[in-house]
Amino acid sequence: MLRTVLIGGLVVAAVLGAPVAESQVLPGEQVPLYQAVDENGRLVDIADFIDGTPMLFLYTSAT
Amino acid sequence: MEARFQKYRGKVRLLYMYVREAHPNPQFAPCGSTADMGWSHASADTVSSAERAQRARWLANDFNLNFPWIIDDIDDSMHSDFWPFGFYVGWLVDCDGTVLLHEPWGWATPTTQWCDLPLADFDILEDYLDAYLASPPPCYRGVEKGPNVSIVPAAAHTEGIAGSKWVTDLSIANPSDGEARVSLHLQPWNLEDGETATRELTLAARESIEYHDVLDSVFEASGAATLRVESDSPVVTVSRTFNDTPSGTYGQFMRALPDRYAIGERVVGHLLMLEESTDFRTNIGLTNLGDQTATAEVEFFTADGASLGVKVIKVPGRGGTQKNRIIRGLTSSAVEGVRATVRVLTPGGRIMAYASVIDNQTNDPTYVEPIVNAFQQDLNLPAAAKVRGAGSSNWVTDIVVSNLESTTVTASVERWQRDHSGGYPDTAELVLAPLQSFVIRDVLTTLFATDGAAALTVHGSRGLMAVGRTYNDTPSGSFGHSLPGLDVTGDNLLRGGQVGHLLQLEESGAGGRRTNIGLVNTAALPVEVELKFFNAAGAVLGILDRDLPANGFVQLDRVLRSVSNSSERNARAEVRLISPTGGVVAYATSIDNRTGDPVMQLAWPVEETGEEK
Repeated sequence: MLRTVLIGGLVVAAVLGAPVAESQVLPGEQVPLYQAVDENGRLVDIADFIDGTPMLFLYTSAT
Repeated sequence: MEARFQKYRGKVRLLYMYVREAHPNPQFAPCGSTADMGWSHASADTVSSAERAQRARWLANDFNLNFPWIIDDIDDSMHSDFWPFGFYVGWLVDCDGTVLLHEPWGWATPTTQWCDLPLADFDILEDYLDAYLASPPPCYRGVEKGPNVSIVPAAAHTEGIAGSKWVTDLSIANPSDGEARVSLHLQPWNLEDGETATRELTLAARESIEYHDVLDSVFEASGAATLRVESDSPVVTVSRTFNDTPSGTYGQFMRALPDRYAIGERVVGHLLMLEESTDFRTNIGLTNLGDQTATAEVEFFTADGASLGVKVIKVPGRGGTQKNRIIRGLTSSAVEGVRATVRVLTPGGRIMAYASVIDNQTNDPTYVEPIVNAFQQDLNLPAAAKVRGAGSSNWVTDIVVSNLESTTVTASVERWQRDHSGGYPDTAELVLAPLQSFVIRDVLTTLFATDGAAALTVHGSRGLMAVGRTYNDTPSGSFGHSLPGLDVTGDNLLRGGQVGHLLQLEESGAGGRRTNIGLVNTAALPVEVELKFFNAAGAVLGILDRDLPANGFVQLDRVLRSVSNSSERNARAEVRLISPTGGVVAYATSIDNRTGDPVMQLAWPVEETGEEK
């Protein structure tokens, strides 16, 4: 099931030439900071998460 | 995967990043989804972050994904930063915000379907996290969390029909090496039965405590109530609710469930093997975990999949209700193999549901725990029987296999004989019509023309569910216990190194109870299992090791006699799969020595349930 959740075949789009930006999130760099929402619509600020706890981001889509 | 990362709860913050849909097409509905989840109607690309949040919420609910989510904006900011060129799917970020590691998406073999694509190599990620946590950097601190919470949906101190007297024994165990502070909250279903109340207690390291007739002895309350257990470190809580007669008890086991087992938005709970006949009656219970009144819709289906009708039930905030003989309001015919679906209609509402199927002659109840969002295809029923025992007892197992799909499904049932030393199972085939619940009475005789005891596995396509009941079939009625059909690919099994807990174990002579423990190896390789027993005070009684052959099934009768020469009450067993791979189901049956009535519990790993702050 997880295989569903993660990624959803975005590779195919990229391989076929879908436009992509140049930036990447690479080891040794600072994680990008966003103000986003959670699944309940509440504001989430990634900067607030940098509080002494390591984080594991998992890339996810439904289809 | 969540089960795999549970051990990092409280140490590492895990976040799902929900980004745009790459293939908004019904063909790419989430793998494992079933027709009733409705993804084929929601496959268009999302056009707002609010809509994406809704889609993420659906995913979380449909697949029970409980880590926090962050949703990409409609400009795809996160996707643009995280995805390009790399095809990475996991990023580990240090406590100061520095990216430590990114994990690639594994590539498919030419024969792999898209939804079977392998993921990033989580073994590498786990190894890295283990090494990181063994020697964390100066910036490290754990996640601040709220208390661990679990819910006993129903406890009783009440009189029933025909002079029956229902009470609940509750046990709480602290499996840790330190003290656990516990708050036990009483939430009466009907405020006429009493007010909410709280009792505080402290459990020493590895101590277990048992409250006989908990509503009366702890709260001086009567009626029915929900019990909410909060603790500063994870504890294990179980209960047994029974009819307390002068000649012994007839009862059912109910474990305390984490909040995530609740039925909420888009979550469907299935209750199987319900019956309304001259032999059995069915009660449905609903407990509301929220503060506001919530409305639930319960729909009943005959064994051939036809709807019997719908009941809409309001449940008061923090309260509960039980609807007795609920099927009688829908049909006057005798029905067996009934399936019920439970949905919550109130936005944001969260409800726990259960059923009790009660023998009309003995008043013995069988507890039915809901199966939430079923998409299993390989199931294990750990102990079926056809045994004539002492005193002309006649132990039999009935099972029900349900097909949730709208197509015909062929399922194979394997029988693995108790104490076998290897080889192959007997097999039988079932053809299930769309939405059919296939009732198989005396399954070992009917499918395999044999007797004895055996573990059963059911293989089919997704959308299969199964449950069973093992009982002593007497001329004056039956008494027995429910038998779960466990998803062998899910987190129902004990995996390598995991520890499960069995509570309320007893060996106490003619007026008390005795305990058997069963072990089922679901893997095609031999495994080694360790059982470590503790008395109620937390002292080690003894350790047993068992080697199980591939798909082996053993039951250790009166197991406490192997580790203790004295009577034991409220003992606990830790079951550990020593082997690094494979999966084991462990269960205990606890039997009233006077009536012979058993209850069954499964060994579950202790779980961190505190919400991250």
